[in-house]
Amino acid sequence: MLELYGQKFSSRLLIGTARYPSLAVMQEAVKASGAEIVTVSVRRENAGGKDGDAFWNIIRELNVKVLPNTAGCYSVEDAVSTAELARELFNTKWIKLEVIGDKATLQPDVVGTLEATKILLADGFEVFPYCTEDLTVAKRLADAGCKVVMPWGSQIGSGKGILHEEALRRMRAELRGVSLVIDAGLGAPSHAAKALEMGYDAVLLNTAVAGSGDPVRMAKAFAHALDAGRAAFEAGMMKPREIAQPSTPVTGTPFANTANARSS
Amino acid sequence: MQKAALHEKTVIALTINGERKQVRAITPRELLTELELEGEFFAIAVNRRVITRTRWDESILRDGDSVEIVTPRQGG
Repeated sequence: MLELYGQKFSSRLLIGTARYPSLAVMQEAVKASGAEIVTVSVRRENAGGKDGDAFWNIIRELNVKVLPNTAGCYSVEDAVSTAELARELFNTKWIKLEVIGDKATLQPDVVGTLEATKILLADGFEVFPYCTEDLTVAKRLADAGCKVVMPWGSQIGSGKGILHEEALRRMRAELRGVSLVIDAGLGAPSHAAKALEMGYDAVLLNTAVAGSGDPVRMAKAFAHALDAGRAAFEAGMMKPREIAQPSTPVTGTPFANTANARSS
Repeated sequence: MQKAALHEKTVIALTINGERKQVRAITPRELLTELELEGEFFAIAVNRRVITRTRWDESILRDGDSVEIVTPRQGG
């Protein structure tokens, strides 16, 4: 079971609700994914509040746990204020904390993220910080009190998968007591499977499903990949070796030790 | 009665979601009505401080306040 701040979930997928062709497709894709947690955002009212109502009514029908984000915040002050609005709006202590440092790469400002994390934890929030593969930053976030840390696979919306495998393997090995979620950059189900094979607890994705040709089928594909990845991790994968080792037993091979038999 | 009459005349300038507007509303609840926001799911911050729903009738808006009115929306 996936555990996030003391709550348990059977699905290891956190799925975004943005960029689908329609709200109806979004709703079907979330169902197909099996996800029990969806990410949402806080935005200025539009169309007299009707857009927000239409969206929120669909989310409520899905009966899932909501993880609001601070997407689009470039300062600690904006991220903290947005988190406070999210807590009021969605009635949850959970916050996916994004403090972005660079417009082109949407790379997190890890210094600002740590600062905002401390403020929000002290204010009673349960923080899901979006960070990079930097081990020291992840450790600082865990030391500050985060029970969940969410390093990127690659840039948000890029679909490149896991770019810094070695660093992320190291992070998994070092941060045993923390739930680690690969957030951002996953494009293919195989990327998600790999994250779980590496021992990551869950993945968070959006564009890979929403931007695919058929979001509902892709949501299912990710669900299967996550099942496979987790099962592989729990089963324990073989260690890669330098040279071949025959899988078929050698003993009893026909024509062994006869004329013309060759072995080297 | 006299208080209500005075209230009618008072116009204050607020920055609402980044736009400057003249309003007659005194409380967040009145502001939502005056702006004809028909939605149900809002959160409101005044000068970056959240005004909880339970205080929408009692919190007082002042000239020059900066108000954010937000709703749930799609996010990743």
